[in-house]
Parts: sequence; structure tokens; C-alpha cells
Amino acid sequence: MTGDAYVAEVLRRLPRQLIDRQRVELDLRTHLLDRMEAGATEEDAVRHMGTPEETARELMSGVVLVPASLGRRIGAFAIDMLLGAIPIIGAVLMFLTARFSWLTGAGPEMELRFGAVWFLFVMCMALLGLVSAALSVLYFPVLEGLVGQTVGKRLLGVVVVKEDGTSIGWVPAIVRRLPFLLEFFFIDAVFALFTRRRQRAFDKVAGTLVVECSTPPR
Amino acid sequence: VDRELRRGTLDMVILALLRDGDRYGYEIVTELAVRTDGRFELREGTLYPVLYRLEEAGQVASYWQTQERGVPRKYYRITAAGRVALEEQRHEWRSFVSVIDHVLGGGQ
Repeated sequence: MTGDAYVAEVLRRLPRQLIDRQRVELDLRTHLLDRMEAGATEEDAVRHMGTPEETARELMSGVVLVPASLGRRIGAFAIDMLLGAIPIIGAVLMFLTARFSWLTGAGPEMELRFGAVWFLFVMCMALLGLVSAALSVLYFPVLEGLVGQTVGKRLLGVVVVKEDGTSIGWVPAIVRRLPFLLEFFFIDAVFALFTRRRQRAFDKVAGTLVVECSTPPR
Repeated sequence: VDRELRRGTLDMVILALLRDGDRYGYEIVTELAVRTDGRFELREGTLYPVLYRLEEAGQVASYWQTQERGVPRKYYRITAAGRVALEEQRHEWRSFVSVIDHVLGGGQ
């Protein structure tokens, strides 16, 4: 593994919302350079660092994880739901305000025109349906898997991480979303009222935690 | 040295090294290797989490120093609070070791 790859592997595991990644990057890079300057090969210098997993875990063990308040989590969820409603509201508004008068004009080709427009309309609706279905399935796991935050979570300053504080990753992001897809979200969410770190049942299963973003010290 | 034992004593060891003078990260590692004959094997990536922790606790402070050539180095310095903490930990360590020694017996 090269020094760059090692540093990238460590940084990938550090949520930017909780820790000053620039400081870590600078310190690790300088350290590798120091050892190489003292005569070690790059590979050797990296081997002395230990695994990226261990380094990331140790770094995050020094960060206090504050479970997000239920108010913030519900607020973030509400924002995300509203966001999902925007395309649908938009489509309805467009339909209501569209001018159909030109359709009703007399003429021999009117019937043809009407048929074509109707066909287009049905296709558009089908497409919209498909897109919104795909988005509703992908929105949460993709955003959480990528950056740990949906738009709602970002606005309310909370982030999803693994229980040890490292970045969430794809599998946990998908697993913690299963109750939504399989329609037992309510029961799942009730667990957050009673668990110590306000975890839903599937936060427990996925090994994830929703925490308040902290401005990292300096 | 056992991993857990190493982890639990690393704060104290680093404070002790800094008590004898300001050092930068890599220097801490080499100095540690010299003083322990290489028997305290440190995974160097985990040195920085400890330094950050100590810094946030106010037990060490850091400053940058440019060199004539090469990258600037970040030096760590022990603070007054760090010295106090080190003394306490040293005390605790000594009594802990003597208690455990007592339990283990003369050991031949």
C-alpha cells in the first residue's frame, strides 16, 4: 500500500462532521515523510502505521458521540419527507394549471392530436412514478452511505455513523433503511425511545448511531 | 508487550518522553524504540489519536516549526497540567505494579 492510499483509507473512515480530517491528513503524511526521510521505503513506513481501520477507530475513540435528540431526528425526517413531496406537488400543479384549450379547437386532426397528447401524458406519469419510486428507495441509503447525511439531517446538524464513530458505509446504510422498505417503520422507531443511545431496532442491527454534528476542536 | 497493556499505558509513556523535551511525532516513535530496545512496539497511526486526546485535555500543546529543508514539523510540548497528570499516573502505576507483584509473589 502506498502512503497516499493509506492516508485515503484512514480518511475514508472518518466522518467529516465529527473530526478535523485535515489535521489528521497532515499529521499522517508528515509522519510517513519523516520515516522515509530517515531511510525507510514507502511500504515500510506504511507498515509501521498499523491498519487504517485501527488508526481510524483510535481516532474516533477520542471523539465524544452525542446521540441526536428525538426532536432533531423527527424534524430531519419531516424535511426529507417534504422534499420527497415536492415533485409530486409540482406535477399536480402543472397538471392543474396546464392549458388544454388548444386541444378543444375544432379541426379534422383534433382527434389525432388529442390521442398523441394523452399518450404523452400517460408516459410522463409512468416515468414520474418510476423515478419517484426509485428515488424513494435510493434517497436515504445512498446519501447516508455516501456522506452520512440526508438533506434533512444536514439541515438539522445530525449525522449517521457506526457505533464506534467511524463512517457508516454502504451495508449499514442499507440495513438501517429496511424497516422503511418493509413497512414496519413505526415499531422499529419506537425502540429509539427506550434504548440508551436512541437507536432504532435496526440501528442496533446495522450497528449505527445518529449523533449530533460537532464542530471539531480547532 | 501486550496490546491492551500498551494501550493503557501509552498516555503516560508519551507524557514521560515529552517531559524530557519537546518532540515531533516521528521522534516520539524513535525515542520510544531506543529507550525500550524496540520492545514497546507501537502502531504509529495510533500515536496521533493519543496526542490529540492529550492536547484536548490540555496536557500537551503543539507548535509548528519550519526546518531549513523539508516539511515543517509539529512539535509537542508537555504543559503544567500534563506534568501533574504524569506524576499522578506514575504514582498510580508504581502502587499498582507493587500490588500485582505482591500477588504474583517472588516469581522464579
